[in-house]
Amino acid sequence: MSGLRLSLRARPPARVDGSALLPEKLQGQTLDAIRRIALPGWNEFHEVGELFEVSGEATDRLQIDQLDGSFDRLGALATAGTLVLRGQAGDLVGEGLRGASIEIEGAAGDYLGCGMRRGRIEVRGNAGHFAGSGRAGELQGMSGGTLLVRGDVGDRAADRMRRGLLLVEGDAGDYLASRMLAGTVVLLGRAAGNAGYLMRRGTVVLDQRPAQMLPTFNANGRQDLLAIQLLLRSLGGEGPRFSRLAARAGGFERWLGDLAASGQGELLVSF
Amino acid sequence: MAESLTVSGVPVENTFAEAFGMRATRIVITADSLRWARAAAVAATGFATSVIACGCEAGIEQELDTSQTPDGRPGVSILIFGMSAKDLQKQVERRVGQCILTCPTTAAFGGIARDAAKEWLAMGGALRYFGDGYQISKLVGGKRYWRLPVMDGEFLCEERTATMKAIGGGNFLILARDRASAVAATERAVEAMTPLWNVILPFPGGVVRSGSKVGSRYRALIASTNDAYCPTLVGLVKTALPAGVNAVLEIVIDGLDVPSIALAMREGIRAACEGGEDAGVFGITAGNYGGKLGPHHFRLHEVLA
Amino acid sequence: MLTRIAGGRVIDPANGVNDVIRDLYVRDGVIVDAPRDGERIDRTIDAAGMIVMAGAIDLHTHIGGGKVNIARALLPEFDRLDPMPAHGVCEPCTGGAAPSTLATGYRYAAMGYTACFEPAMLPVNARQAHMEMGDTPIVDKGAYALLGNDDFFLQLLASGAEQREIDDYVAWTLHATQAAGIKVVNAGGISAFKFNARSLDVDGEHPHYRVTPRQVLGALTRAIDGLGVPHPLHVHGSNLGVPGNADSTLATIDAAEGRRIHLTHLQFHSYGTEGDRKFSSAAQRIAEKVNASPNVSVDVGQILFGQTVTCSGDSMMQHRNARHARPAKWVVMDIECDAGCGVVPFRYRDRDFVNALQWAIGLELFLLVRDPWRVFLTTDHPNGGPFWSYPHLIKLLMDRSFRNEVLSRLHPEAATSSTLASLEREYSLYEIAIMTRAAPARILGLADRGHLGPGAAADIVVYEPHSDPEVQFTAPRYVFKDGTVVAERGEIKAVTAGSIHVVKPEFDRGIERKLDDWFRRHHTQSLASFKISDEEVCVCGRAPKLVTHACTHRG
Repeated sequence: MSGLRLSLRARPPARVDGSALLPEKLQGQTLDAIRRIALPGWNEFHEVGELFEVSGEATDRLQIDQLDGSFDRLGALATAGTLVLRGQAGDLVGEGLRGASIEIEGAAGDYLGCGMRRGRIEVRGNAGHFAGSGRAGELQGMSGGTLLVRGDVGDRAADRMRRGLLLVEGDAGDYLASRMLAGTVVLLGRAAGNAGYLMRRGTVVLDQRPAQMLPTFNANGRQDLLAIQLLLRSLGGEGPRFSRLAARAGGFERWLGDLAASGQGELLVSF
Repeated sequence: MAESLTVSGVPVENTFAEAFGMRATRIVITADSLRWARAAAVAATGFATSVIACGCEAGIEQELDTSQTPDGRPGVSILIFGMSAKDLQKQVERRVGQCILTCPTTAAFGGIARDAAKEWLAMGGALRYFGDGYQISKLVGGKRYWRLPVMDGEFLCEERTATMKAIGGGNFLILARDRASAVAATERAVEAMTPLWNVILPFPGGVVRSGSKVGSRYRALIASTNDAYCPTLVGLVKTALPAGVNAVLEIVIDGLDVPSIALAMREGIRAACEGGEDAGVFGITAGNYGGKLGPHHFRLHEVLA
Repeated sequence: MLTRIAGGRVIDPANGVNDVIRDLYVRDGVIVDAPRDGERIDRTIDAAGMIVMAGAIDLHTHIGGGKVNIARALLPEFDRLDPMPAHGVCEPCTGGAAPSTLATGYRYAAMGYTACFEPAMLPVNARQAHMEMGDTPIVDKGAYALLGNDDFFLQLLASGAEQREIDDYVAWTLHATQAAGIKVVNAGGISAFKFNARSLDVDGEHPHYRVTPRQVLGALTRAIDGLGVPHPLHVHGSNLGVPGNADSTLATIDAAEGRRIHLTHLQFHSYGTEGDRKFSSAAQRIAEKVNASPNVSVDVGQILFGQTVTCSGDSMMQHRNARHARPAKWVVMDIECDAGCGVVPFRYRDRDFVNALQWAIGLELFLLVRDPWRVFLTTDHPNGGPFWSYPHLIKLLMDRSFRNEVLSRLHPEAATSSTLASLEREYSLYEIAIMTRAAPARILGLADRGHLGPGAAADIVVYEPHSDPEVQFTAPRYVFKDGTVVAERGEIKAVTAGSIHVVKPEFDRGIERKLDDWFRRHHTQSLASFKISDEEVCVCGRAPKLVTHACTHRG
């Protein structure tokens, strides 16, 4: 496999900010220079060489193996290249992503892809809470790009989402798409409580009836909308489960809200 | 260069069609059935024969089957030509707004490839306000669409459509024995040109009878009837009509590029000349203004080579 | 232990010392006379060639109380952009638009500030304010209690109560809240806002109590003088930020009728309505009035460009400003009917005409008010800009060519709509020392701060002279707080706890009978639990010392 490869030796003593480990920043550097990069931890710095076995060649592809969840902000603000994360990827992976591709062969912690603007993140396993949302204080969550989770997402996925695409093959926790401003969420599994809570605009496609429908959404009847067909058809490349959804005919049960926030968002529920 | 050229025995004058640089956009109209896509397309390209008085020149380019449209429904692609992106913006807004938005089941998509795009025109982006706040914007596959609530559901309209450099005014004239032979020849030509991409024939049925010359004895008019080709003026003016020619019809072609117009002219001329002089077609020529006004010259002999 | 700070160029305006080379001696946190021959000097700090001043005092900076915490909660995104990781003796914290208590203490101390006064402590919120200030390390603290919009006061005034009773209530508030002074914000206006008024001019009538701001100001200035509170009534005027408010500012000065009054963040109150945009500088008019009124002192509330957050008790004006919030989120709320609170984030932009002119107006005031003993260096932190931009502000005052160079980069009409470009005055180091040390100590009645004479607290700053005042004032060579070196070259060396400064004028405790009844009927807590004792304030304020300053009757 080409590219640079970092393999974690042992669990660091405390959480470490891994945002310096970007393919675009490391590209072209010598392995020794990379080993000397200091990553900020909880009140102390750790050199890459202490933490990781470093091998390969620094190209636009970086793979980090044996992750144990103690590295946060991996791939944050990345603009180019490919970052492959194997194991447990920690919190804030791909925060504010601006264009690169992040593949997580494992699971991700909380705030996956929060505030991302462009690019693509794909997680083979589960993601924690606040996937595709924004950090505290931000007025918007993710505002572009594609965030694909093959497993489940936790609570508050797509909170305050502004644009972009969140695709989830598994289940979602409470408050999916809460305070959503716009954008698109497609959930193949089941949403727990309060999906669409206070959403203003945006589209949430639910392939299964959610555990509970908020009383502040009004039924809009069964609708077969061209825009939704177009949308689902565009997901064909994301795997067979998405193509199946696109192929099903007859439209969706459509709910509009959240009227508690004067919202005009749409929840589209398979029937 | 050969001094004389005939097609099916019909002499083709060694002259050229003089054409102009324009801007064009392609819009793909889809609908639940071809019937409604066509209805919208006909309306949207109506009253668009000449840029001077109509604001644009437009026509149906092709009918599209379900594999050829962005949404998998039957459709029609239309081309709209204008003198500038600004002019086109006005026309696109009006024509999509009045003729496609209004037509049952339709949707409108931009039809120019991104890499050919010169300027962008607001399409859904301009019409969205019709939604009165209930419009929805949706980004699918990198393109932004607007969804406007209408009485049969939603009108889906791509936010923008691109313009590209284009050419207007490719043409040829059919000199015929009589009106019936001229009409028959143009019908053959139009039929042969209909399957071609990247071109439209903006005049009614693809044909124009009122060829014009620059200038007029009336000061207010910048163009007037092309008296040299009018059979009823033979004997009164310096005519361009060979003996025996009693009717002339012209086919005007707007296209997205030079090869497409040249191809259309060749196919059209060949079809028109089918049957030769026996079919009453006595000659083929082309309209120009001496070559000083338009940058594109389609020499008939080269086009047919 | 006896420390000698040797050979520095001492600038100590309170004692009339201007750039005189002399040694300073410090024992047990206090400046002492030169020891007799033979006495052992434990430590000598070589200050040869350096400039020695007393610790600086900020008499108007929002560092505690409800609104600052609300601002912190509202804007965590700016904290993340300004992280301060653990470093040396400092704990990890964040700066940002509304800096944490730790960052506030560290940054003030590193810059040579040794005392900070929170100007807007709501009495009902005093306990929280003292706790926040207590969490702010190193610097001394004090606070002004807000009166003039609370119903008890307005009711007294409306019912024609005797001045003596108002005096007692004011004094009782100073005691109960452990305050160092009294401030009034938009006199009567915050209360009027709750009765649906959206503006209240100096002679406008409160819609319910039928009293005017002029009456409120009259009663409170009389009380402050009558009680002998050293700090004049601290006044945030009417119509903050409204074009044309210079008229109400002049009326506010008149309302004091010659009694002492301190006009705070005067820049926000010096606007005219001339020009095409109906917004102009009235700095000249205001400065003339201030120059002619020896009873008036002012602080400027300079704005500086960048992101900040405005925190004010003036809910009436903050409600009006909310539409300018950037980022677009804000809080305007009532605090237990005691006063108000408005938190509106704001970004001052140098290419914006209004902001650029605000900047120019602030500097005009600095330069046009002649007496440095009556004009104080503030940005109304964080409202006009963060306090850590003071060195930049000092440079603007001391260096005319720098000032005009900055002015030339702003919205062009800022220069043409103000007189700033023509003002030639440059502050001297001595004047800077007056306005940041000697004068604030004097106007707050802090006998043992702001100067370097024997008996003063050993709050001392040693600067390496530099041709660029911004560099000089950003990271002093040494900062002593109560005799301890707390910072060197901008780096914190020791984290100490500052004292709390209060005043406790005498009054007739009979007022408590009336107050007790009022509390029973209207408050969420009893009178007894409302009051903060000396012991409690030292515990929750983490203060080793409560310093009570003398009140001298001036009525």
